[in-house]
Amino acid sequence: MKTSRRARPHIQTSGLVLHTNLTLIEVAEPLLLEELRADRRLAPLLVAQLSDRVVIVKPGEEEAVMRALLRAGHTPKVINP
Amino acid sequence: MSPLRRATPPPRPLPLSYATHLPRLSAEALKRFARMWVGREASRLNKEACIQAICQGLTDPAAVRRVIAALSDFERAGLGLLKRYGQLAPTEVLATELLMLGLPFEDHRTHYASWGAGRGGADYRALNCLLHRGIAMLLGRGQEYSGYSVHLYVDDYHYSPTVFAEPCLLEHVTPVPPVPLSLEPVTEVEPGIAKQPAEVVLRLIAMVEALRKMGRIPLTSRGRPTRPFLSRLTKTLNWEAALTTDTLAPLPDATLFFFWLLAGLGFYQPLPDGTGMDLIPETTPFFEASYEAQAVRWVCAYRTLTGWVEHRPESVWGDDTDAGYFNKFIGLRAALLLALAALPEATAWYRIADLSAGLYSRLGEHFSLGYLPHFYPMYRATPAQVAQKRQEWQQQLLRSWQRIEQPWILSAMTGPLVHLGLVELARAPGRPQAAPTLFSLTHLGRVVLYDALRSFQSSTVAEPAVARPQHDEHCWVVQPNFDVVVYLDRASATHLAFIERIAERKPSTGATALYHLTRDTVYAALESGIAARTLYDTLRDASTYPLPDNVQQMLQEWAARRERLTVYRTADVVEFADQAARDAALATSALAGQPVGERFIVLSRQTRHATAVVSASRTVDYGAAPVRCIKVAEDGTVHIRRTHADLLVRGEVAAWADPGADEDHWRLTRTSIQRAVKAGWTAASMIENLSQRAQQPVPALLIIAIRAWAGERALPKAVAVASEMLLQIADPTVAHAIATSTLLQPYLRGQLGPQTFLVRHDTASELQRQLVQLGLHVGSDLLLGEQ
Repeated sequence: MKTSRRARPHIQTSGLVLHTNLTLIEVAEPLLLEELRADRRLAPLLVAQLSDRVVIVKPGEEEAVMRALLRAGHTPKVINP
Repeated sequence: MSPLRRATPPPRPLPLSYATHLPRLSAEALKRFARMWVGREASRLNKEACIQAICQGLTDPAAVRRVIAALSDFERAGLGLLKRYGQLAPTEVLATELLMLGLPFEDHRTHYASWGAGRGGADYRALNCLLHRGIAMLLGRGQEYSGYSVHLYVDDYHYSPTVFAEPCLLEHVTPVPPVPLSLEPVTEVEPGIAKQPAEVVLRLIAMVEALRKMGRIPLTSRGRPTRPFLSRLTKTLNWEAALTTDTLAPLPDATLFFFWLLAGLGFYQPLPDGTGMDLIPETTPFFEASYEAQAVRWVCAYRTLTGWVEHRPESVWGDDTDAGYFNKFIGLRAALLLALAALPEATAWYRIADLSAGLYSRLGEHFSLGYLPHFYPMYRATPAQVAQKRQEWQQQLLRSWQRIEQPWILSAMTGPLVHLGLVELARAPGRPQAAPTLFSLTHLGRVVLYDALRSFQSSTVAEPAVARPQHDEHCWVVQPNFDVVVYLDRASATHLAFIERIAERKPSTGATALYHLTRDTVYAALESGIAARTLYDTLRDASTYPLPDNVQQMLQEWAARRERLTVYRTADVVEFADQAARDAALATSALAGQPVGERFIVLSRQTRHATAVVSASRTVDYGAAPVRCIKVAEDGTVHIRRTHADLLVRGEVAAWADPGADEDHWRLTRTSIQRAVKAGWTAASMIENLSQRAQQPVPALLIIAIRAWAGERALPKAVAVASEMLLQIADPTVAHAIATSTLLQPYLRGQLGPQTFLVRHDTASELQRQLVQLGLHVGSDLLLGEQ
């Protein structure tokens, strides 16, 4: 007996790039990102910006970033998606 | 060891059933066993018929009841003790408990020549009585050498760590209490010390929460927690010093004690890789049980505790990593707990020294933590001589007991038994500064130690057993200074676990516990998975008074502050060609995630697991080495290859290069490098970054330039473009003559080669004149290849 399988919707894949194992920081306000970038300990670890509120952490430096954030008085919400 | 032997699996224990063990016994033993079931008929049965008769009897409840009724008090008490462990009991524990019962038993030592001194000095005669009759059996191994039968006794050469009995026998047996010890009650006592059950629960919950925060428990190759881990745990709990130096009830190595107690409670599970342990996910149901139910488990866990010892007598040597070292301590612990069940009156006060003497009276000649000397009468000695020698031997044993076992008993009574809420301590009247020497069972101690062996009889304790904890909805007060006072008698285990997670515990004693809320503790609680709303509501609902305004405000502020900054760890991001494509993908149900920026989606866990849905044209794994996608020239120009670029490379390049014609072209300059240095980069980090990204080796000259621009002090930067001139001589003979000439030396600054000299700039024309005068032909072009 055949079982009907629901077709999984598929997205257009041309020009689509999948980036895996990234650590991102998202802030509520762009000003806060500027604050992070002005921190000498944090700045070298924030290597790319996806938007005015999202920045990418240098791979391998996640723990250092967390330590620097906590030391700077931030209380980040950590999400393992 | 040969590879073959190494590959052989260890023998597996036989199943816990008589049917499996009986065929391995001799016909003589089987006839003895069968006699209990079929009477004298057994002597006429062969081996198979005996097994059949025993197995048939075990399936008949009436026969089982009849057999149990025919057992001696000692044998029934032995089965009753075994029943408390389920079906399996540790050999050492049961052996000493049987001796502590104080009931007479038949000594069958004449049957077996090797029944003298037992393993390491222990005496198994009482246990062997049960084994001899087949009431209990040693758990045998599945691969005995052929020709040998399952053991019917324990001694140095025949040993198994566990003893078992048939479930149907245990089902019908009722506990038999031990014969009361001859102890004199004490009527006058000074106020002492006792721990409430809630305090014990709080300690265990604190340990559980601390372990939960710390995560994985790393173990050494010998199965012990690592030293750094224990140090961190001790620091987190912050109770070690206070408990160790407690003048009334010192508990040495308190962290280790509670750590291993949790192991005995079954709170740990091994990690699949075998390198550590983890806390089991659900511990709350245990703490939600009544105090009696919990205390029964505490006692069981304490009785068989390994890895921690109350007191280590100097003359008892051993290694913590050797399980056998703990066997004697476990045996004495079991005996002490049974001695507490053998008190003449459950509610009276007694001297600890008297209890020790009571233990000695039953165990002294059979047990020692150290070496136990045995009594051997002299050959042809007269009865008077034997009596005298025996008396001397007994005095020697007593002195040894007072030196070794009594301090251990004192440590157990004033340490773990107090901190488990089972025993209450007091001082003798008129000695307010002295250490406690008197004890009594607490309510909880009576229920789990004393009444447990008398449950079938009318309770000797007039008052009801320990009441189940009456949990109140309002069990704490939150003060404006962020202190939380918890009333232990009203707090449920859930409330205690909650407050332990959201606040920092401060030193306190008695019926209350004191906690302090801080931004860090609340943040840690939110990070551990407690929702901000749940945190606030639970704190408010369990508070006797409304939460102070400032506390409410700060809780909200701390929670809101956490929402301002989010870190996504090991996220997967999908990059689209443009915003329209991204929005179109989001509109379908193919991708679930959070849109970020104009062209990106951070995938949710659900979508990540269905990665087949995202069949991207290219995948970049940031856990791997960086993608090599730039070209660097000596002049500092940097070109990013768009088709190979990842999300990081432009950010990295922008940090230390100036933008060029478009976003793929950049240039390293002195100013761009100095700007990067101000932002925290170093020359080494920039060069390393550049080297990891460049498709070809970074030009050496550019590396030098970066180091120089970055102001690297270690770089020797001095170079010179000299104005001196070169003198070249085509012929070696002429060159030698000039090199050795004193006339020409003032004009020369140095020699670069056999035929090449450096000439001082200011004397060049004079030298030229001299050379012409010497008849040489002086030209101005370099003599390439003529030397």
